[in-house]
Amino acid sequence: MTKKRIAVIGLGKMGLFHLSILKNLPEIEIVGISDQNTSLKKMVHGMGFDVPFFDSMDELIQTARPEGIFACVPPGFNPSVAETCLKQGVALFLEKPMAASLSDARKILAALSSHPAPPANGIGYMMAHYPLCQQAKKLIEEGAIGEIRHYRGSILLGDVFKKQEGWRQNPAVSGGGVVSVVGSHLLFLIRFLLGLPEEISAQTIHLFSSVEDIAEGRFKHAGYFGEFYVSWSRPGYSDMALQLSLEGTDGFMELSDSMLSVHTFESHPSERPGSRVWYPWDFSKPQVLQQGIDLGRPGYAAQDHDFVSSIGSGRAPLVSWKEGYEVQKMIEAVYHSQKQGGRPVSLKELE
Amino acid sequence: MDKILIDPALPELASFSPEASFQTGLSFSRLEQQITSLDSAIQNGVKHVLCTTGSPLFQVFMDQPGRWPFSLAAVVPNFQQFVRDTSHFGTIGAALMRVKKMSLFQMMRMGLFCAGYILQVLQMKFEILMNTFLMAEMSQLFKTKKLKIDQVFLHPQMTDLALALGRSDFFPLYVKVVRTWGSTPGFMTRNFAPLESLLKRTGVQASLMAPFNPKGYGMNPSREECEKAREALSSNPQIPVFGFHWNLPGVGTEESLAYATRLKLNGIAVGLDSFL
Repeated sequence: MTKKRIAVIGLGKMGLFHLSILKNLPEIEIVGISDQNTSLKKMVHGMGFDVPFFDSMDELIQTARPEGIFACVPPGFNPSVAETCLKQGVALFLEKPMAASLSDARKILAALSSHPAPPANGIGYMMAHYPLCQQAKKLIEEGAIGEIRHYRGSILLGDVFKKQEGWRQNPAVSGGGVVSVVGSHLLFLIRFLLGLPEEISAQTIHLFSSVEDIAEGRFKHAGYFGEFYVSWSRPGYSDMALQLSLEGTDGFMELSDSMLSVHTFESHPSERPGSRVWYPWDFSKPQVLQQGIDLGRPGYAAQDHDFVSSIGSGRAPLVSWKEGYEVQKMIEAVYHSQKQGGRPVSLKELE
Repeated sequence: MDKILIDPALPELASFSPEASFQTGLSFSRLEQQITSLDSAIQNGVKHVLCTTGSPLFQVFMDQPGRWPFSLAAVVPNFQQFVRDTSHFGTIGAALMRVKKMSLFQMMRMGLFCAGYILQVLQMKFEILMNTFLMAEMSQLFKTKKLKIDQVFLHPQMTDLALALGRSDFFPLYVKVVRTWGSTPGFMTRNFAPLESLLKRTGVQASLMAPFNPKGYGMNPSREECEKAREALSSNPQIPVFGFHWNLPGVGTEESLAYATRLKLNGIAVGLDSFL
């Protein structure tokens, strides 16, 4: 088997995490690593990555000749990374969100569309690979709870409790605060399960610094609406806690990190009223985990495997830049609405 | 089969839902609740407690050493704190924060340890840097001689990271570091079979703790492989094996207990809230 030549750019927490996963994928060879901070060279070599280190991405591409790159840099740098990769025809996985602004995301997507032979492209919304989320999507599409009438989603995390320093505080680089960094997972999930909303109205709250720490809002879809709430300043939540409740004409669904449940009403045309529940262990283990070391977050391993196998296959990965762009639109709508005092913002307005 | 009481500050070992962890954490924010549960656990024959550095439960034991006749084990690092610190201050910043909390004697001990591996320190070898970091974190466990920490387990995320990176030298060094403090080393993992195989190759002897349940959840690469690896260790008293995530929601407790018993596990992890 010819191994795919993969490189990683950006050696922050996520870059190192992806490197550890990629090291265990038998179908790839890590051919280069790049970070502007050259002092990290020794550290990654000390971790056992005996591969060339580059302080410039151009040099990495020219010398190591990767077929695909995992870019784990702050979103503000994604447009220039994408431009370079597209010019060279290199497949590119971007850590989420796609960019620091919708206009940047638009530029990335436009460059891809105008490419004569667009390479594989992916975005790091790993929830698409969670079996419980996939099961929820399947059930909604099958009409397990009838037509959706309302939903309420939240993500809570205990991470920020004082004024922070660093790039995350600079919206031009990070794209924003809790909405961009954490809430984008919930926005992705809403889009993944229900499609894009028509309108978004939102408010944000700043507790500690220049980017928002809490956000809440209302999403209008055709015929129903939903509410969302995200906070990274909630004590007691050491792990990100996702909760999504959906009410339909024939039932009710609850989705969290650890459980999916469906409760059908008497009105359901083909099912008896009652409850069903699914846990992560009810689903077969992804093939990728049957080969390498499980680092505790199976969604990430499946996501990296999916992107790598899409390279040169003509198949798009489960979450491509197209989906990433739509989530970026939702992020932008949240910030637009907030700037206008919570006025509803149509996603069409943002085109 | 022994029961091991799990610190509510280790939600990844005791619970499956962040919401449930939050509720448990709230219950135990009251000191009297923690004390009542510990009293109740003793009355019910529990002999072991597993806590982590900087947790409220650990503070209870620090404040009242000798009150309960538990054998104390700890998990390092306090992973949630580790993730927060490395996100905000970088790995080196997080390490410096821990070093600042060390006593002069502890710093000297760490300096001596590093001096023994000066070439590897200069080469920034993962096994040395990570063990130095862990040494700094462990110093919090051994601040007072009144409190005896019998075992120090490595958090599963760290064990599995070292496994994923293929750093087999990391494991004997961790054992050496823990023994420097006069404690017994242990590894927690979600990759029991590969870890068992590595320990066999390297001759490392330490306690192990891993998920064991009838559904095979967290048993990597497969339930069958993990059962075989457990069987291979069953006659080795130097490597006791404990189970966490043995009792999954939706699976009967009797069935789960029967499975743990069939595997001859030396102990199973139970949440402190079981004794509320």
